[in-house]
Amino acid sequence: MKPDRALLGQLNRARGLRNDFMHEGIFKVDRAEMEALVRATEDYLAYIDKLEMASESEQLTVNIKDAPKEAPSREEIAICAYNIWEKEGRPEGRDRMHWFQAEDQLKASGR
Amino acid sequence: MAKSPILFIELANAEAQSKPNLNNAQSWLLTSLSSYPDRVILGFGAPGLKKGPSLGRIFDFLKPKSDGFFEIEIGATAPDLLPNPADQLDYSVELTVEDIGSKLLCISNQMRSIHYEVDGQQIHVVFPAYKLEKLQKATEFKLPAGASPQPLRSTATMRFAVAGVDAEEALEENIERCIKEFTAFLNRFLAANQMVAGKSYAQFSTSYERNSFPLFYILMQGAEANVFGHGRLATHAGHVALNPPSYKGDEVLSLQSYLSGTARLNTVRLMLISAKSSVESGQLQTGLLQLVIAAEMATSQYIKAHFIAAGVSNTKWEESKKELRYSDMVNLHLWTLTPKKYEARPGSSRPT
Repeated sequence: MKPDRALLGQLNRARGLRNDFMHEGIFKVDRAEMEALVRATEDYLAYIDKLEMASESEQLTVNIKDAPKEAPSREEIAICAYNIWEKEGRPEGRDRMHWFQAEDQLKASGR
Repeated sequence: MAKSPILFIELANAEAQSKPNLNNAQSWLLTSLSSYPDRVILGFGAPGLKKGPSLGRIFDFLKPKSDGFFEIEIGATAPDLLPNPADQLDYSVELTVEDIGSKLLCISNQMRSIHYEVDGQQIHVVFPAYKLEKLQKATEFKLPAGASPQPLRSTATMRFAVAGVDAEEALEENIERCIKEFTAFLNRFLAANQMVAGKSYAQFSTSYERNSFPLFYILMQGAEANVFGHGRLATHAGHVALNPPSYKGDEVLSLQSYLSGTARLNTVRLMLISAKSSVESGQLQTGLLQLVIAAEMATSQYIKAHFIAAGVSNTKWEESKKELRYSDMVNLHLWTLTPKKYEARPGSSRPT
């Protein structure tokens, strides 16, 4: 079974109302409907929590089965990110991107 | 950061207005002397609580008017001192809130309170400043000589017609709605002040919610014009309790983990709490925005975790997240990433 269509319908309704308000300044929601949207959002967040918990427990099973490799340390990532930065000519404002690239490179190389 | 000079400032009381604008046909609280015991309040019991006859009935001396209605006046002192229009210290305004309608809101910036003890009981009197002399002369209040009036911040009232077989039923059936509507009108009033105040907006609260007011003054009238039931209602006993609550066992550990940073604050949950609070206080537009943000944050974080776990690189996620629309995440990605055994049903898993 997949996410409940009625619940997602209410999320889409909230999103549509948000868009009307943001883009056109139109707001036509009464208190009763807002309270219903609060309940729907609570249900949705509880659903996502449930999915996250399920993912974590499945991930744990996979991890035990596959005996994962040790993740690269922060120090290793920092050195690798520095090297990428140097290689690219020391550009400004790309530190976050370099960090992720370093993480990916180290993971791909089995570290 | 620039240095912030600090000075001594002597505060001065505004002079009382000799000719008030408000009269008791508009507001009882803001035009009269009323006294309240400090340590007795009205508070909500648990929903569904059955009260025994020994507790008596609240305001049972009030009889309904010929049309079956009572009149309730709700009052509260705001955390702010809102500006006077044209130097008027008290005034009324007709306001409209879209999903409620129009009502008269009364405001006074000249309310005072005096705390003192009579016959071993601690009480306080609330009154407009121009009635100080009358209070001092009124023997029934037993005001000690030299008792010092304390100025209150802006105090507001609003009236509601409520029906019930008796005063208690009328009060219990309608008070939640009245507080919500009163707060919504106050927020409408605050928003208008924020628009006019320009750069001075920082002196005002952003918005009011029921937690902004530890107590609401409640005055109730039935068939007899000069007979009132009155008291102070705490929407949560915790707002007025004299002993602080205490964390126990696991709660202490949980608090420590959040304070030390070993447990992460759930920002989605905090956004949802803000949204609920906004809706409760009639800030529906803000509430809607916060609700959608909470749902979008939760969806995006879940989708990201799944992508990364499935092997998508952090770099690719960083690049593509700017193009990823909330609508696509809810209506496409969530469907493909959700394990088949999990189904979302309204009301099935709402957190308490």
